[in-house]
Amino acid sequence: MKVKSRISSENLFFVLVQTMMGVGLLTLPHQTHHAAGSDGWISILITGFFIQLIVLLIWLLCIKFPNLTLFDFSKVILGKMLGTVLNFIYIIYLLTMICYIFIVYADILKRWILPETPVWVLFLIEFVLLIYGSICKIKNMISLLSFPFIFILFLFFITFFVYGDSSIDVRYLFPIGSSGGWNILKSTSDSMIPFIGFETLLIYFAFIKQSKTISALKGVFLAVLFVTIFLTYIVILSTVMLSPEEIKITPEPVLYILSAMEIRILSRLDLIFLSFWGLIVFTTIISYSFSVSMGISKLIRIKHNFAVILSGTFVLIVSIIFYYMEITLLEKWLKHLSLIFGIIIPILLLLITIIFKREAASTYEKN
Amino acid sequence: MRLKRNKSKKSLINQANLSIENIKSQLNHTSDLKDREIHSNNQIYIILYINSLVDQEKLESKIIKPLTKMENNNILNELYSQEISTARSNKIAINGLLDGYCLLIKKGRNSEGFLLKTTASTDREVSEPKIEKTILGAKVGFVESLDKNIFLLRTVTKSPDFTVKTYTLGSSTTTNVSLIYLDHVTDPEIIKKVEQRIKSITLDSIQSAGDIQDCIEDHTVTPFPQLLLTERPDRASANLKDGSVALIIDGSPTVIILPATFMTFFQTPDDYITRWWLGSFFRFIRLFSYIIALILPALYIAFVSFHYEVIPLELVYSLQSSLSYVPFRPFIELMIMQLSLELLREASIRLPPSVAATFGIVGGLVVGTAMVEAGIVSYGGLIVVAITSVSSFVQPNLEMSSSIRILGFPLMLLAATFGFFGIVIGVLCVLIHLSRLTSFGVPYFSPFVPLNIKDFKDTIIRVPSWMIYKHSKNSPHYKQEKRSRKWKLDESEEPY
Repeated sequence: MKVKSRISSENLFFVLVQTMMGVGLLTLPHQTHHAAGSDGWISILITGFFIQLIVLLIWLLCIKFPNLTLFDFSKVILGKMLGTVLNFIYIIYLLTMICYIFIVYADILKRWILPETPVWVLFLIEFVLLIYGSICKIKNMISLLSFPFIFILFLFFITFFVYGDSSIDVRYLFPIGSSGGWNILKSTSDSMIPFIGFETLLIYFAFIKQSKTISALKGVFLAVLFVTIFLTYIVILSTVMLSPEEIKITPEPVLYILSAMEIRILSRLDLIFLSFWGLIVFTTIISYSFSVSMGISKLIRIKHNFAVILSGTFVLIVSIIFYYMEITLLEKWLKHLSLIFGIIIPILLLLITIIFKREAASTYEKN
Repeated sequence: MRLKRNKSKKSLINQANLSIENIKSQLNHTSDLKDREIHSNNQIYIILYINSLVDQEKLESKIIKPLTKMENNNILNELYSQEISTARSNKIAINGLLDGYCLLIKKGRNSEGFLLKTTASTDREVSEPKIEKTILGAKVGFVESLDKNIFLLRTVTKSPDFTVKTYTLGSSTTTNVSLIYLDHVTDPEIIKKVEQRIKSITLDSIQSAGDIQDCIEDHTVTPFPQLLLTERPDRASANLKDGSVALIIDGSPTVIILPATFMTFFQTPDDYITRWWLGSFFRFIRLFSYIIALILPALYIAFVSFHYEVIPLELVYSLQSSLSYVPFRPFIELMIMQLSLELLREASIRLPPSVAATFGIVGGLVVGTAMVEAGIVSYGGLIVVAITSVSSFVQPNLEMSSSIRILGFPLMLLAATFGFFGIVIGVLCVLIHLSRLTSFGVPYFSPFVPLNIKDFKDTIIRVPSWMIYKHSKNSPHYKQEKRSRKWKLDESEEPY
């Protein structure tokens, strides 16, 4: 079924930025350091460039099927049976992503701000906000996602206070490229994780006005560029602030740096940062759950609101089970999952479309 | 029983024939319904009017006197009434009588009567608005009469585009409601929506602007007002020029402006009179104070009961010394203060001004200091509540500032349970809620959600009036020419 609502290129920019900016940022410098040492920022830049290419491929795929989401054109490309299976796997994947965000954010909250609060309460809050935020029309969700962009800029300014610290040492960055080219390239798969979220483009691109023009792509490119720059900045900042030995043992370097800061009226900037970061994490959750509910409602033909409640309940139960059983499966597989669902499957779909010359079938025109 | 009677009455009213007996019985032979026969020029005229609604002077000098001295039978030429219409049915005649017209019927020809305007006016003089005060703005406020309000609005909005559409609403008692907009400026979509919503009102009677507001606002379950009620003609006029629609209700001195977005409630006429630096500054202060009033109590609770480590050490000591005597938790402490403040506020509205000063001293100073000395609240809590209430008084709109009160308590509760994180949850919920509100199809939280930096120039800040070349989204076709400061180029001098 063709989607009826339309969004502009600017809206798409905000949606993508908010979806990509999520929990990944807090742990990012630790991970990149693990893989590429002090050259983590180079690997982020490379990954950013790489994602731009992937986004271009997704665009090429999507313009073949104007106003159709992934859940619709998968059936055109792969046939009804296989298409439904693909939709099902994608829904499971998106739900897993929400579970992952649920668990990571609740865990960070518990460790940094609310040590005494039982985690299931935090899960419940996340659940309620997911339901409240996602039961709406796409127009409302899009406009909601545009505002927290101001908070991203605000958080950007919070990091400026760090420069008053005397422990900054630019030499930690040098020598550039010391980890070796191959190691840096290898680490790009690790630095993929904070970029996860661009695959929702497969769904949101259906809503854009005049999808075939380059201007439609502009918002997407700028969004990826913005996220790349922001992440690079954060990685460079933490590399400069913390010695290599420190980064190795701190799981959340950004918060660690901020917690040491003190300005005249406020100590413990990390608490403020983390709370505001909640706004941005929740917009990621809302964006994901909106798109997954769209998929569920198309798959088993139920109303959107009911699909939201269904997916929310699923996520709540799964994340509580995973958290209390201490299953770390998700973190291990995240890298591979994002590789498969964000890059490999779209490329395969594009190849099939080009080779077998699939087009928006006439059956869809009738609807 | 009553319903049935009403029905039979209606069927009578709808009868085409105009008959004095019928009219009298439909008005229940009310004793202020008078009739008078006049013999003139071999004809008998009957004048019917409701004594209490008619201006006696006008009736005597302009209707009765010329009628008795009439020389030919052409009534329309002889009478001095400014408004004459023919009434062919009982219904029209009765409506006219209730509006203060008098009914003139030629005896013998029952089918036709004339309605002549003799309405008595009991308007009070135009006076300065009581609630929306300004420093430099006009000292004129709306009054209770529909015609006079339209007059007031027209005098400040001289334009051929000025359009008035009047509707009669209410099934048992009728009220006239006028819809006013500037054609070519206002978005036709909005006008269509307003007309449709007004036509669908089936209330029995309309008492005030509130009744209309309840019927036509987009969302009822929200603390945020979506229509602007104003008593200032200059404010209404400025909004009309921005492409809004005004609704004037007969008998009500408040005028409804719609659609109103969140930022509309932060604008005042003074912003546009002072220089733009000052205007922007005031507007920024108002917005800032709104946020302060909303989250300061919650922040205090979060700081004191959760995140001691965020405040610098020196401040912790001084807060601690005062807090250690208070037996309550910070949340309860602030609740006590807020509730007593609400009591003071409610009480001060009803008091006569002469007592109010004493009340302020007793209520504010004595109770406040006594509460701290008795150890019921701490100095910190008192300061927070005082700043909060002062910030909420800064709001130019009463309804908007009451939304702070409604939202403030849940935020305090969340802060008491989850600290900072609770505040963020609350703020996010408010944001989600705001992103869904619309006012006549216009997004309510407009320049922020959806984010549109270009529209900031007449919302968060006020740019100089010559720079606002496109007024607002409500008026897509209207553009102002950008040449007001072109003289600057002509007067510029060479540097050497």
